[in-house]
Amino acid sequence: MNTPLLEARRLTRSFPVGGLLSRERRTVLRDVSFTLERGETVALVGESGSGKSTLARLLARLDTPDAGDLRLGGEDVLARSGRAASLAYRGRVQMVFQDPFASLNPVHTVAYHLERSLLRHRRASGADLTPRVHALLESVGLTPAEQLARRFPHELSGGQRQRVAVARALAVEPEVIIADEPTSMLDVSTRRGVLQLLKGLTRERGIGILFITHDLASAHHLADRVLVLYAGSVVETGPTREVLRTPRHPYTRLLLSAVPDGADFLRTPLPARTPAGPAPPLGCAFAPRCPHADVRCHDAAPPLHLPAAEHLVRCHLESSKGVADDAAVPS
Amino acid sequence: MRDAIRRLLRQRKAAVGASILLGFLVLALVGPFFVQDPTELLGQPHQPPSGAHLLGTTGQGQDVLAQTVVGARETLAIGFTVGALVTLVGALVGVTAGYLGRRVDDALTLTTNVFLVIPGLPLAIVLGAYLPSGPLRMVVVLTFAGWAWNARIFRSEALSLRGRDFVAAAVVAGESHARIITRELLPNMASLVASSFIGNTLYAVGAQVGLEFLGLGDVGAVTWGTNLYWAGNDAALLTRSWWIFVPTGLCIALVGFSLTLLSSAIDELTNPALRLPPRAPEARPAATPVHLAPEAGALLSVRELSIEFTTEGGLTRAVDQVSLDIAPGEILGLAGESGSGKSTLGSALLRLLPPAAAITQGRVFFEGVDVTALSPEALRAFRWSRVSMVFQSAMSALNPVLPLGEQFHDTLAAHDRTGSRAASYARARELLAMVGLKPELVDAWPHQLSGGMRQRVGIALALALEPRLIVMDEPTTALDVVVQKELLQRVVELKARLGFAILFITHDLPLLLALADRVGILQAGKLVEVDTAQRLRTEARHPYTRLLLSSFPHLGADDVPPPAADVLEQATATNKPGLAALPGGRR
Repeated sequence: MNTPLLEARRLTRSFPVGGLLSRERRTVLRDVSFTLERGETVALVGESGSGKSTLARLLARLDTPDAGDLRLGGEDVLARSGRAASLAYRGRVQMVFQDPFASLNPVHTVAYHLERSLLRHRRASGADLTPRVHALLESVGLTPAEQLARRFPHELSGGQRQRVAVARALAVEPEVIIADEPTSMLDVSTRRGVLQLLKGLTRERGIGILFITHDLASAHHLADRVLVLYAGSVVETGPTREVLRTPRHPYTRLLLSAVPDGADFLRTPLPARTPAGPAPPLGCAFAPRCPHADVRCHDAAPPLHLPAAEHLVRCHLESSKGVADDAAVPS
Repeated sequence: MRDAIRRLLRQRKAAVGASILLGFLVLALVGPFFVQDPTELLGQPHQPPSGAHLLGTTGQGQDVLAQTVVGARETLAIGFTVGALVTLVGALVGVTAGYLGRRVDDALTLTTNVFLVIPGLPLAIVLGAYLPSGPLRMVVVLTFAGWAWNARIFRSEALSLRGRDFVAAAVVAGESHARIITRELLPNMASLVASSFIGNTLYAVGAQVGLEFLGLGDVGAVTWGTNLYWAGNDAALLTRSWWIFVPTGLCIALVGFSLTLLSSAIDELTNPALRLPPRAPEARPAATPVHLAPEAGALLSVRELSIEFTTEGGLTRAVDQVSLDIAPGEILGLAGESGSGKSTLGSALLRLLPPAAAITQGRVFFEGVDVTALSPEALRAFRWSRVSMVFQSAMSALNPVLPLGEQFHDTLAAHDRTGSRAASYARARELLAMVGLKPELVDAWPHQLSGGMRQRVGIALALALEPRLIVMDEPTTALDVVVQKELLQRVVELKARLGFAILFITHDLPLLLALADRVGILQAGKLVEVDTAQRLRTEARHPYTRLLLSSFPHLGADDVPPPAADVLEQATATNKPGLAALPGGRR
């Protein structure tokens, strides 16, 4: 088997809660594993508080996991620290942030942002610099490039800023781009363009994209595979089409039924209970809201099941096949 | 940067302050060449102003004019040097502490706090005793005693900037810490650096004059402080020789005044909240046709309504001759992108426009009454009891320092709908139960609730006076989809039970199509299409509506072919630029 481009194994991250003397920690990510191949887009779907942004920060090396493995092209990333290793990693893994109004420094021009990335990673220098900046801007559909390069972020629209952010990521010629909700702050009519741009990158340059979103519909539009995150754990993963058509985990079904799509969207009830108490410490985190939860769900962590090729589900009910057919969500 | 300086000088405060200061700088630079030697005993002591000595002589017979002019040089030189040093040291220490955090922050903050609790004057006296005399001593002493304040200010600024994505983006781009501090963080604090520098110079001049007046400076030098020191020593007050200390005192006061003006001007420039709001545009009654009348049977009729904002570039029309009707019990959806004027239109129905905006023409009829013509008293009675509002951010709509029950009581009491606090609380419990919350939450505080719960409280508050219409401005945009659906199902259920109408404002067209009876599409302030949700879904006529519809990826259908890029550009190009930058505009 080939080595995957990016591989996370059992990544765990917790943060201290409470005051100075408190030793309590809250686990935000628990044993998250996944792989990303060259030219592949994997969508990471979850609600606020599911830990998806924490995972993005871990993968961008803005934060360090408490436990687990991170491999880039088979090399252990976490084992090597120091400035050179960090720079080498950043030359291969780049990130596009959620809010293009915040991710560009208001005091610098568009050109400055791109030049810094090019210089820092020795992708261009001297007389080569300006043509490269212009070429980058053109490659993300920002024309006329000479004019736009001189602008400041506040002179651009949200969609244009996000394209600049993508161009900055591309400047270092990365192999992986982590896109943290890149369209959620944009106007709807510009969203599609940015999604198309990202899709083109995987196709034309073979970049692997981890697309973080709360929106199943854009995941459907963009991703080859999808990971569903609930309370810091991956509850279901598989090819996008299959997961969205035949969701196995009750939480995935709940999410799907809440996507505003179709005239009777508000008339179909949500397949969930009002939470009956906190999540059990040992069992399944979704158990308090799960309409199918039973004793097992409260007592033991759910095992992984493989209902179809490459389709993984972390649920007790899947093993007994209790809910496979009766609760299918109409799509 | 140049633009900021130009805007600064356009302000009267800044212009006056800068000219006074410039005058003193010129005086300090060239003045000494034109006056007599300030240390020479040129005349009789205690001589009042005369032809030979324009400002008289000191208690020892030196020329007061010469002393005042020459004194400006060292005083201002030390003032500006200390101002710059204090700002520099404070900024570097503060930004480094705030940006790096953890241990570095702990150590630097501890040091800063130690310096803060040491009283400045005794520190200066002690330091002064151990250092060689001269202007350099004053610089060292004042810098040593003054930097800690600045470090605190810059640290908190760095803490708030550190969380911004552009810092994380610079880290991901591979930038070093030193470069992030100097090129990413500090340039964003330009205005803080400028106002701190001015403030620190003011501090330096004041503290320096104070120390020298007490005799703690170099009494042989000629500065404003030593002038005052000698004036005191030579009993200028006792002999009523006012000319000895008034010129110097006036100079100090003027320099202080100019620095205060400058720093207040910088504050106003960077914090628009301190500025007087721009005047709202005037209504043009002549432009409103007389025949405007409400639709028969409609709950709300908006007729040819235009709303304009005063901006720096002149008037901007945010809502452009919009007419629409809402029937009793109807849900009318209003969809549009940022800058389309949808929120402005919604708040205009309650006449809750920001100070810079006004209805310039058109009418709003509610149950046949012209809302635009209501007196302030009638408007107060009308708001909330007839039409209420639910805002996007429930946290900012709720008062964080009052428990929920109090907020219900305030609302009810303001409209005389309650006999006692107990009655209000009972009604609040009832309302909370109606929106699906536990009645016991009446004693809870807003920060104890999740986003979805807060939004339910917002809806309960909007229902408190049993209005006929509720304007909901993006009430679910900040919520997760599951919470959103729960909330909307509850709203629809309540509407069926209580019979109020809803104006639902959002950018989420698929949501509106599922929720609303009719949907209006706003583009750049114009209502381009209004139709039933059913018909819009299948046969939208306006190209912009079709663009919006195709912009949302769907779950069900396999990939709809995306609209060609030029269609996208074309349909959005009609959006007026600059509208999104309006105050209150959402992105």
